[in-house]
Amino acid sequence: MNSLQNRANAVMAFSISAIFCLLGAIAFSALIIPSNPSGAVALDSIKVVTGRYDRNWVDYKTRNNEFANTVMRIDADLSSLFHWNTKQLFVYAVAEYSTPTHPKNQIVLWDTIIKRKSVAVISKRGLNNKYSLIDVNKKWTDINANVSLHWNIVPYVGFMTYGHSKASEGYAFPLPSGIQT
Amino acid sequence: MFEFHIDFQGQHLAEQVTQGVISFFGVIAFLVGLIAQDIRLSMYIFAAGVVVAAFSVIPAWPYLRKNPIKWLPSREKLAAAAASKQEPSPSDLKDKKTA
Repeated sequence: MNSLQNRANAVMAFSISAIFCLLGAIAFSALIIPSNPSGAVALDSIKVVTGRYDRNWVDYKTRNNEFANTVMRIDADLSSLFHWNTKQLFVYAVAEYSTPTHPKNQIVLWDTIIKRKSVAVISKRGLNNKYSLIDVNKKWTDINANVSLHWNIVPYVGFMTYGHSKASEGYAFPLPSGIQT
Repeated sequence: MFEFHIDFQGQHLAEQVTQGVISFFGVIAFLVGLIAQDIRLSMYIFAAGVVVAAFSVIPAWPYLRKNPIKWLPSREKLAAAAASKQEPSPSDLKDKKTA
């Protein structure tokens, strides 16, 4: 601490140590701040069509893969998830079902990024699925899927945390009708 | 001209001031940010603390130079003093030999 440079160095070095403690405290405080998010997804209609698809995108001949097209209704109030360490929310609707060969399947139907508290109340009608709803076995017959809304809190500093709403009732997929263009 | 060096007590004090000011502002930054739920405000308060700490210890303020080191006189001066006095005191001689 004798010379000018030495004192400048000491101030900067200690401030780095201190800001790490501060950021650590912020990161841990985010885990204990209470929140009461709510959300629900419902499927208004499900239509199954057949089309071309293969795991390696080389099967151009057959149209025997079944695609499910859904119309969704999403209601959610996620504004309580915005605390001082929330940078943004990643919100996604997930369909979950089990088949005899694969006990647990999860498919993301729709997603969005919420950056501000003022737009954290979601009320959407008539949403089509953003991503293809395809089962590994290529068939939707005899499958019951439930849907739920999941969210991922992206913090400024600290831990990514996840949450989800209660799963909806199971929806049965109808038989294929029509061909996907 | 400008003085950049501070004395030993000043160095100790400067270290205490640095750590005290930055820690204090850090705690205040956390509490205010938590209450206002604003991480940006928290960072600004902490930055203000660093600026205050830097301003109060980096320049060699007079409060850090209150206890300057008192050096012994040089050998030449001592010898000159001894010569001017006819009878040098025994303590002076002893210092001269052991120095």
